[in-house]
Amino acid sequence: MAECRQRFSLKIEESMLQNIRDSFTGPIAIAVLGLIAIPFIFVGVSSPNIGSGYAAKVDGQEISLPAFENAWQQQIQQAPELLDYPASILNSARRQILDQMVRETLVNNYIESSGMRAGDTMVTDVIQRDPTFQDGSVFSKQKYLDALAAQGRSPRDYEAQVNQALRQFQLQQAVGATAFVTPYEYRRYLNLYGEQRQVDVATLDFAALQESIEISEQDVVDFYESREGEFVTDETADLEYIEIRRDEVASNAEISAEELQQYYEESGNRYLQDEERQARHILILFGDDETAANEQATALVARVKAGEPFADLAKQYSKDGGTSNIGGDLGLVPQSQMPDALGDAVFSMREGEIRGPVKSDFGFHVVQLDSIVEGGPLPLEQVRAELERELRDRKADTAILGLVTDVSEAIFESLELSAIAEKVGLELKTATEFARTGGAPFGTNQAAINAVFDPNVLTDGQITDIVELDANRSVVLRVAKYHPAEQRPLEDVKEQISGALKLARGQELVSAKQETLRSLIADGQDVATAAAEVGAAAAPTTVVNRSDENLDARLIGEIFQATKPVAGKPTVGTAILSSGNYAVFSVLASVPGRPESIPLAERDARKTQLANQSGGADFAAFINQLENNAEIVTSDAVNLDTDAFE
Amino acid sequence: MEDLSEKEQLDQMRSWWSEYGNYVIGGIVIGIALIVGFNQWGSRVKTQQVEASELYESLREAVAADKTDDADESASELFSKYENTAYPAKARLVMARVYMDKGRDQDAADALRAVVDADPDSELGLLARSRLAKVLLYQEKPQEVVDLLSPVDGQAFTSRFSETLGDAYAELGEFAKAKEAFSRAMEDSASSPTVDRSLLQMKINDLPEIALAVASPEGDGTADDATVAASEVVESAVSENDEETESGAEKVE
Repeated sequence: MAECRQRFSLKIEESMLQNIRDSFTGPIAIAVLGLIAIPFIFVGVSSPNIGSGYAAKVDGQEISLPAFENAWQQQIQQAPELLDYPASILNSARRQILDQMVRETLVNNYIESSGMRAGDTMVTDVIQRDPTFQDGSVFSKQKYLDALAAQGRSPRDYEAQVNQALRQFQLQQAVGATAFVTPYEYRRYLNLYGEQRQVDVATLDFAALQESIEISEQDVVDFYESREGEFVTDETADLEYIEIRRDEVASNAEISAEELQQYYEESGNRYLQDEERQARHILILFGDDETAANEQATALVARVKAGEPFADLAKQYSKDGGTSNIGGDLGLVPQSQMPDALGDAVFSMREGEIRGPVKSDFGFHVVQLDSIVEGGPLPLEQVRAELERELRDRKADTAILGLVTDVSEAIFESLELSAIAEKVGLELKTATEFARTGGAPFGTNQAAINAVFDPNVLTDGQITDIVELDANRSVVLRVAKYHPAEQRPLEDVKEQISGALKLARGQELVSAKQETLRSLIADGQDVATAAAEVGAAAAPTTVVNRSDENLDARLIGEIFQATKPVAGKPTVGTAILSSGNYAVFSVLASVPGRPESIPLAERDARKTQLANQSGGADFAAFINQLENNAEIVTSDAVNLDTDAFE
Repeated sequence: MEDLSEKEQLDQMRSWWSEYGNYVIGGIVIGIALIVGFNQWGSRVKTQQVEASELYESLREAVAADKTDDADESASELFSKYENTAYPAKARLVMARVYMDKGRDQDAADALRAVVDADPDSELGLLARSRLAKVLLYQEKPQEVVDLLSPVDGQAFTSRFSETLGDAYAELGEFAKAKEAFSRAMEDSASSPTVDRSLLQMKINDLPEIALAVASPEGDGTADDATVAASEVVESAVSENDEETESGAEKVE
């Protein structure tokens, strides 16, 4: 196949060259021909990436679909609870991951095209300073190579990644860590955040005002009569029903020992176990010198055979970090879960045998086989519970099918519900006051509500068909007694009406008083006098700041939202407090926050914090700008639409 | 017959070669020379970039160790020998921060202006412009801030530009324009914000309403005097409440 393609493409190249040769004669043409031919020789024709597709393209740079799905899987591993969320949230999380990858690609493209470089010395420096690769605070090349081998990565690959990360960091620092806060900006920030306002506040006690309102008998009657149709009972129905419950039928099913035995034999194939073996190993990596590794492994085999404890040797020599501390134990596993070469060896050994060196893709192994668990079907006792459940389910299916048929026939014969119940052997149950919003025993099950409030059933006395409420429950029901909606007597709703009237009038009253108070103060009256006039409580003049905890948060919000006052002309405003009380305030004056009011040390810390914030914002704008200038295409294959997860 | 035609072909080729052979060889030689030259040029550029990057790193280290003289030295070497790489602009951003920290605002302004002038529409150009504006504002040159920012489409930097522009207009007493600029800054990117919205809202609330309504130079003067007078009233109230506070009141901006 590959050869065929190669020959084919050679053909094309040949004929292309022929065409060019034909159409060019003259010396210059030949020089040109030399020019274009040579790059082909050195560079070769680059082949486009085939298959697998892309998730997004950033200025032609692809983010591959597998890379995206991989990142998404990692996200899920970190936060598995994500999967419990609805598809729309999952999609926006996926979108975020993709955006992140797009932004990283934007940064990488920028780094590349603007010619940012990290030299080998910089890369080496970073790697040598990494404590992971150090042995007693000195860089160890062996440790470095081992650590990479354990992750299955090549040094070249890793160094390229460090190089990339270094340049990303350079850019991030150049933009984000160079921001500053000028003294002007800082003073303005403190002026605003530290602003203090001098206020007079008068508060109207809503609860007390409401208490003072008298609602007369006549008011209540008038209201009751004016709102006919509003004070009615819910319509309800008393029910008779029979119920077919799958769980009950299943638990009542009898299963004999013979049946179980027969079912076990029929389904024996399902319980075939692969043979499993428990082995230990010591891994010697190839390292730089494969022969030396082989010799080391051979020597270890001899030592194990000579009787040295396997666990000690594993601990000392094995480069398999996952098993070296547990005696080299690979666990009880089938052959399919072992790497090829190691599996072949383990599954051809006798119990207790020691073998090695066994060569695999990782290195040389010293292997000892501890035990063999034969394959074959699992014994009945081990699978009894599962088989019984399945048998019960099957029996329940048959029994329910029978029941349903019997019930349907009985309904068809137009029997009374009690007669049906008797015929099929189900209990006739009753329920009372089932409403349109549901009720016992069906809760808010919509199928039950629809069945009951079907006019034929509700008022004409018909029996329903079999109504499936959910996978476990079906019912047949009739309405024994229908209670239509009725006007509730005045006596019953008196309290309710009087409460509602009190609330409404209380609000009217307090709003009116608040407005009077506000205009009195706005007209220049003294707050205390004006408050006394309307029965509000005036507090002594105070100075507040934005984070004041002595005052209601909503009041503070309104106070600082109000226009700044100018001398002799206070700003008057209103607020409804979280307590429900109403307030009117008058801002007499405002004074900006002062840097001097903050201790020097804290001032510097806050300034640094502000500079960092500013740098972060600059970096965000920088990336947004890269995004503006780039051509970004998202593939449909990313599946960000809602039904992708259903 | 076959021999003859082969011989003929051979003769043809010989005569073709004697006529064009030199050109073919010449073409190949020129091609090789160009490729070698291109590669050498490429690797020279790369070497330059790596050297610039390393110099930039030593500059950063000097800054971190608070050795401003060493930093200045690395910076001027970058500017003189590596002006064509990506690093001088970054070094200027670093130095601008250093200068601001040392109170050398004019040096900072010069460094930033160089980045703006080098490539005004680039990402770094816009970034430097936004920072230069802040320095100018601090230097009490609000009109220069307006001249620097208002003719340019800030694109992703629009919100950051607009906030500083609003500050400048407020300094100039053009409160309606200030409000408009602050409001524009509020239309920030929702997914990756670039301004502090609550601070912006405070700045909007802080603009004097009367001046906004009158919007005339005389009106501005009145408002300012009035605000100062008001702050003195509160100042005395604050001092009564807080004995530690010194009596020297800061003038309202």
